[in-house]
Amino acid sequence: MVHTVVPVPGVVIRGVVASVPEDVVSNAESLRPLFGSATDKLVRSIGIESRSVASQGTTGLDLALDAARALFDEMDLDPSRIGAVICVTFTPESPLPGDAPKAQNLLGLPSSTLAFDVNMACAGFVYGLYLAGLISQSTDKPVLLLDYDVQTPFVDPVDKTTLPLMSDAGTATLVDQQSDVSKQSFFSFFTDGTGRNALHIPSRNSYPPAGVANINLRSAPLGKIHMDGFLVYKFVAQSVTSLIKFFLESVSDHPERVDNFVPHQANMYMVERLAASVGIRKSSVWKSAKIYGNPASASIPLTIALNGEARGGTSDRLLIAGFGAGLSAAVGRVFLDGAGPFRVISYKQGQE
Amino acid sequence: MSNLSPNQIREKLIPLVADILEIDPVDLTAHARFREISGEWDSLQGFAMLCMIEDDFGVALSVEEFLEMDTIEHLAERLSRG
Repeated sequence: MVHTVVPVPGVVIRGVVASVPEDVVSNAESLRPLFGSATDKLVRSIGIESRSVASQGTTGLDLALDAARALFDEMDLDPSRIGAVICVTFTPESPLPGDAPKAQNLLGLPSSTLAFDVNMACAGFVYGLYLAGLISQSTDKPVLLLDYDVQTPFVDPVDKTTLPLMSDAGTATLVDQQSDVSKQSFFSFFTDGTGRNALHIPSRNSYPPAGVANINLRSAPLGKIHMDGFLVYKFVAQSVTSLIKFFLESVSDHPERVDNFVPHQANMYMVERLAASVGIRKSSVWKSAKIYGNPASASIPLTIALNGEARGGTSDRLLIAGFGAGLSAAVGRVFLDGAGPFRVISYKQGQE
Repeated sequence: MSNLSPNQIREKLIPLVADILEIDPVDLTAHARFREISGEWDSLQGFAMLCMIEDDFGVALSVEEFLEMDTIEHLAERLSRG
C-alpha cells in the first residue's frame, strides 16, 4: 500500500463553535424498544450514552450558521475579512446549488468570497482543513469552514447497526495560516473505492449494495444509510491504522509523543482500539461521542469545540484523523490557537 | 502461519484474545468459551478478533466461519490449517 504525505504551510485553527440540537436523546431509553435487555450492554460497548438529534425542519446548515454567528460574535470578526466559506456536508439543503452560496449570503460575506461545498462524509473535516489551509495561504485571508450534517432522517429506525451511533451537529471553524516556518502542517489521504458500498445511502439512481445477497446482510431501504459494520471496522483497524502509522513516521513523530489526537468519533470502542493499535496514549485521545454520538465529519470539530478550551494551549499541535464512507481516510497535523473560542452551544429551533 | 503447530498458535492466541476481551490471560483457558468469559462479548469484539487473526496469523476468516468457533482450541486448530 503506497501512501504519500503532502506538506502545507502551518494551518492554524483560531476557534471552533459547535451548535448541537437541543434534543439530546438517551441511548439507554431510546434503544430499549429495539434492543430490550441487551440495551445497557450495547451502550457500554459503544460508549455512546446519548446522541444529539435535530428536530424535524432543522437543517445541518441551520446548525452551522448558528455556530458561525456565535463564532463571529465571540471573535468580534468582521465578515469582510473572510476569504472563503467551505461547507463540508453530505446533507445539503439542496443539491443545486450547494449550501455555500446561502451561507455567504446569510453571513454577509463579500461577493468575492470563494464559496463551495465538499461532500466527503466522515473524512470531510480533514479535507476541508487541507483546502482551507491552501486557500488561506493563497488569499492571505482566514477561511470559514462549516462542517455539519443532519443525518438522522437518513437512519432507518429499526437498523441496529446505525441507530445507536448516528447523530446531528453543526460546526464553524476559523482556519488561518501562521508564518512560523517551524510549524509545518502535513496531510495524508487514502481512498479505497472498492468499499464504497460498505457505508452508503442506496438511491434510485445507484446500484443496489454489492454482494448483499452473498453476505446475508439486510439491505437498507432506498434513501436510508446502509452500513456493513464489519467492513467498516476492518477498514479502520487495518487501513486507517496503517495510514496513521505511516503519517507519523513520515513527519518524524512518535506515537507516544502525540499529545492531542482528535479522531472521528465513530464509536468509543473503535476510537480506543485505533489509538492503541497506533501506539497513542489513552490520555491523549480527545472525545465527544459519549455525550453527542457520531455526527459524521462534524464529530472532529465538535470534539475540538468541547475539549479545546480545557486541553488546548497556545499553538498546540493536533493529530486529526477522519475516516468512513468512501471508503476514505484523511490524516493531518494542524495547530490550535489556544485563545479560542472553543464552545458548544445549544440550538433552539426557529431561532434566526 | 501454517508452520506453527496448534500448540504454538494457542500460546500466541491467548494473550491477543485476552487483550481484546480486556481480561487477564491467565483467566483464558484453551477450552473456555471466549464469548462467555467476560460477560461483555459483543460484535465489536468479534470484529477486533477477526482483524487480529488476519493481521497476526494471515488467515481471513469469514464472519460465518468465525461464528461457528467458540474456543481458543477450536480457533487454533482452524488456523493451523492456514
